[in-house]
Amino acid sequence: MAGAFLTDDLTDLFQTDDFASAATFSGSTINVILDREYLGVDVGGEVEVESSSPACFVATSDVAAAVHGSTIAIGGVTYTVIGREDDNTGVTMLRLRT
Amino acid sequence: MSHVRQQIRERIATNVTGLTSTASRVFQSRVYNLQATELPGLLVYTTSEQSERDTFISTNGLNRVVDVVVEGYAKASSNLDDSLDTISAEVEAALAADPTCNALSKDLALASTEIEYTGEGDQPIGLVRMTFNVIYRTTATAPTSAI
Repeated sequence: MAGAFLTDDLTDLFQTDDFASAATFSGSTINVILDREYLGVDVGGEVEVESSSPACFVATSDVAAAVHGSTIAIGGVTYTVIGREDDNTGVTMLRLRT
Repeated sequence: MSHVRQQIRERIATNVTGLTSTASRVFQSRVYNLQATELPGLLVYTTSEQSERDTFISTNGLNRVVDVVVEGYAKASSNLDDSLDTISAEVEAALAADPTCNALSKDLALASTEIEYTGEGDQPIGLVRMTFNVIYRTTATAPTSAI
């Protein structure tokens, strides 16, 4: 369980007037920070395939029910959760695919 | 006149252009990354070749076997394996229908197939890599003419 000094600032961290966006998860509106970094995917062939590596950071308490296969809508795009990484200090990174 | 190997590669690229899955997204000897809009697509390479003299009496003839690699790429959130097998079926049928590559080669046969998948990226991506052995002959002094 994270100490209060770690979780107290999460609300500020996920303010939508800074870096966060509103998202819909399991019927509720939550705030997430979406990251879609470029990724050149090496499938084992002669060239790579241009893609991205979507992930979102979110307060763990907002996505307690998130498992592989859950969906989350961010900015009009519905993503499927393919990975869940809790940092155990109150923040979770959800790895996503479209 | 270009090397017969080039002519064969170009003929094979032509033969796999317009297939149902990959349409005109066919690229020869591509070195730059593929964009999402170029999938599903095919890449055609000639990666290696073995050759040997015809006979000890006539040293001018060369029997050659060139490896032509056709890579099929696809991206999908479901049934990616089926998409790759469909691409494979379309390519194999197209090339088997012209085993002499419009009279450039003696024969053409599928030698191996490898399939790869990855979950990296915003959707799963897969690759089917088909290697075809293409047998052809030239003289040593005229590699631009098939004999």
